[in-house]
Amino acid sequence: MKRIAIIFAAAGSLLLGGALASACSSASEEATPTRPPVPIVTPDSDSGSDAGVDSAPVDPGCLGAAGCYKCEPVKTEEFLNACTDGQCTPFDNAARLPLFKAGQGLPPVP
Amino acid sequence: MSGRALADDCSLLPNAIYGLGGSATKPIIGKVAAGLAAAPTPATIVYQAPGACLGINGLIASTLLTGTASYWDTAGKEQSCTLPVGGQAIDFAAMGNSATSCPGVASLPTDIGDFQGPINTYNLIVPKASSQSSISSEGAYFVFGFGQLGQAQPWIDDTQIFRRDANSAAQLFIALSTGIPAEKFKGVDTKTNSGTVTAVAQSTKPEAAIGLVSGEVADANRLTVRTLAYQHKGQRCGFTPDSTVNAYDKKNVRNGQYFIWAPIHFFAKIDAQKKPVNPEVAKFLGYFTGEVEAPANIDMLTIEIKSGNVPRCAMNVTREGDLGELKKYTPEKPCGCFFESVATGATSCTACTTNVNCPTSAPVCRRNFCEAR
Repeated sequence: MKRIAIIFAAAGSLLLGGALASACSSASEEATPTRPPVPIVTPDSDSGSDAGVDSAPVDPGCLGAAGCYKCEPVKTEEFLNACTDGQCTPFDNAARLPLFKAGQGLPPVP
Repeated sequence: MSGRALADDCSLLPNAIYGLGGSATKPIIGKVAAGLAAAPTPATIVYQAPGACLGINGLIASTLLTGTASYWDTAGKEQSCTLPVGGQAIDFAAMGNSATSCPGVASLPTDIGDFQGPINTYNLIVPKASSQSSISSEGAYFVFGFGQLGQAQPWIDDTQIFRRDANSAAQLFIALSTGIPAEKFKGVDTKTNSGTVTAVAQSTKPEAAIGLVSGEVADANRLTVRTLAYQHKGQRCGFTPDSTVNAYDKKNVRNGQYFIWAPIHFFAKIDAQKKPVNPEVAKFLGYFTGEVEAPANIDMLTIEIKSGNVPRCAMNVTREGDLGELKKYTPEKPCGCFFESVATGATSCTACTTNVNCPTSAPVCRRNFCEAR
């Protein structure tokens, strides 16, 4: 199954010129995008589950602080990335997973 | 006949209904069973929990239950009884996932119905002593799919990675969310949800320990284990089911930020009208689906909420199939205010006794709170 994951966080970083914030946004934190987001597309390579999120490019007007989605969510990735005042805790795949290569598929499970 | 004999022989229990399935659903089944045992017309739920998929496979194959099983007395205490030597037919199966996620079930037979109850989550847990607070789908992929070879610090000790098997709903959901084949998990098989909690909580290497369990079991053991925030593929950061690690509001489940959740599924033989063939089973399952009013001594919503589940009437999102696409959900008779009140002990909703007490923005008084509809 074709699965494409758009990394909202990366798009948000491009827009905001910053790394992921450790706390989620509130309305007061949301910033106005200065240029259209550039979605980072990572084809998944695992065993064919439906775990990934399929997506089209994010409307720049819907990007809030730290890459959260501030419009009314409709699709899975929009719900997952919706702006919320709840606690959110990033897990940095690139820093913590030596076998993870951004932009590449995951190696098959042995 | 002595009380001892009654307790030992399942067939002597009043109006027994026999179930088979997962341990994730056992706590809520037990709470409802206790109410049924104390109801004016008592009924007894007798349940074996060898694993989620063994339930649906047993029901499809008309497997007979043998050995011993659990039931619950009027005080809610779990007891054990002995099944008939010749075996006992299964009245219902219960588990967290849909039938076709199970090994050996290509499709649900037409004579078996799928009845869905409240929402349960599936959680990755660590000991309270661990310093870890989050994990990503990719991180879990390397931890549970590769073990030590995954190099996903600090979870690189195969003896401290606690898994289940491919018949477990918890493992099936982590398999679906990460892409690990369900039968290829690394680590130690803990057999049950409670076994996982025990193994994780009592680990002598708390920083290296990690396990997977149902949310209601994780919630019931917060003194010893902690749920990690889960960051799904393409998600900007990880979320726990609740708005904070110490909350009980299930806000991130109800609104769609926590990814790994699904309704509890019950299965039973059905007739041409798609109703359970056994009328007692129809009533029991109807309590969970909301189609049948429970006896006055059983408050289903409160039981579901206090068990760590989310009634559908408190959800703002829905999905079809195991971990399917999220969609906005508007319950016909919302109970979000009541949910918050019971789950957290507080709500910002207006209290009421009749609709007259409610503002126009939330005009319907339901369960003593003003709801939108």
